[in-house]
Amino acid sequence: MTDPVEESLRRSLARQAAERDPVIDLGAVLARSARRRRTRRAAAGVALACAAGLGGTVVPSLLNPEPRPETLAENPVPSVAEDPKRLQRRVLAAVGNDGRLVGSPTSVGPGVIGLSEAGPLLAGRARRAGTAVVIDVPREGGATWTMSVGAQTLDRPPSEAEARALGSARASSPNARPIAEQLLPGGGRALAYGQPQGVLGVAVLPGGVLATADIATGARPVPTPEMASLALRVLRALEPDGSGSP
Amino acid sequence: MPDPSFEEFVAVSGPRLARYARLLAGDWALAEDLVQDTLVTVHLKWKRVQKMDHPEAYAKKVLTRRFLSWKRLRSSKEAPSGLLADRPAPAAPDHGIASAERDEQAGMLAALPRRQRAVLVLRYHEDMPYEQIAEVLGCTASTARVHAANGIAALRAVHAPAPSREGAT
Repeated sequence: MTDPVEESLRRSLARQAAERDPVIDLGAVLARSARRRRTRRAAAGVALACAAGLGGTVVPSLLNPEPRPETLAENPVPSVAEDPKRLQRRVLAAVGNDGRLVGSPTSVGPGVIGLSEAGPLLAGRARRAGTAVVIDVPREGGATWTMSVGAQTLDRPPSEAEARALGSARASSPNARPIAEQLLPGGGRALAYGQPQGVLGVAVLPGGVLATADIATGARPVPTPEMASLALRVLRALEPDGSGSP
Repeated sequence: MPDPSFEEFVAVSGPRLARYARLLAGDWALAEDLVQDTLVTVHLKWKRVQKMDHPEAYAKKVLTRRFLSWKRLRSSKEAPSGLLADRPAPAAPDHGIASAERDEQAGMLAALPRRQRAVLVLRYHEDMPYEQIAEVLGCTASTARVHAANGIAALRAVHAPAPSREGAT
C-alpha cells in the first residue's frame, strides 16, 4: 500500500522541479583555456556573472571566443588571428576610478569573487593579457569610465591602435564611452566584461536601479531579478574595503 | 564515442542539475549559485570527469555536498517559512489544490535539516537506493535510512489531522 505522505512528497517534488525552465547555460561559457587555476576560476565567475546578466540567454561564443571573421576584418588583430587560443588566455583586472589597479579576481565563492592585491605579478600578467577586461569600480560619486587595458589604466577608451596592440578587437568601440556614461549618469557602479565580440556592461545606478548594455552594439538586455542579485553580489565583492571577500 | 565536451555536458545535464539544486535549496537563486559553483568545480576536473561513466552523477554528488556545507552570506540568510513567496505555477486543472499542496510541501521541506532534505530529494525525486544516497552524502546506508525516516516522520506529523478536542475537559 502506498504511503500517502510519501506519494504527496513525490508529487510535490516533481511539481517543484517543473516549476520553470532553469536559467542554464551558465557553465557553457567558462573560459576554458586560462592556464592557471585561480585565473580560470576567476574567469568563470565573472563569465557566469555576465552570463546571468544576459537573462539566461547565453551566447556560448561570447566567453569562449572563436574570433569571427567579420570582427577580425573590421579590426584585424594579427596575433589573435594567428593563434585564436591566445584570446582565451585573458587576465582579469579591477581598477578604481583613481586609476589604480585594485586587484585581480582570484576566486569564486558563493556568488562573490575574491580579489587579489594589485602587485607586480598582477601587472605583469595584465600586461600579457590578450584581451582587455574592464571592471570599473568608482569609489566616489560621479560618472567615470576607467578602463584597464593590460597594465595600463586609461581614463578613456583606448585608441584602435592601442586596442589592436593589446589584442582586443572591440575595446576601441566608439559606443563604449557614451553608453558607459549613459549607464552611470550620477555615479554608481559598473561591471563590464570585455570580449572580442563585445563588452557587456552591468551597472547599478544610485537607488539600486540596474541597467545593462552590450557596449559594442548598444543593445540593452532587460535585467532580471537574478541578474540584479548577482550583479549586486559581484559588485559588493569588488568594494575597495574588501568587504566582499569570500 | 568521443568524450563529451564540457559545453555538451552543461547543455544536457545543466537543466537537470538546476532542477535538482532547486529541490535541495528551496529557491532558484540559491539553486543557480549552487549549480554555478558545482560547474566551476566540475570544469576544473573536467579531463577526469569526462571519462567517468556518469559525469552527471559526479556533478550531483558535488552539488549535494556543496549544499550540505553551504555557508550563506549574512545578506542571504535563510529564513524558512511556511508561507513561501513562491513563483506562480503553470496553469493546471487542479491549480488551487496543487499550488497549495506544493507550497505546503515546499515549506515543510525547507524547514527540515539539510541532510534530511537531501536524502528525501535523492530518495523520492531521484529514486536512488539508500546505498547510492549514502555514497553521495558520504555516510552509511543506515544513516541515510535514518535521515529519510526522520524526514518522513516530520512531514507525517504536519500531515496528520489535528487531534480532536471532543472529550477534552
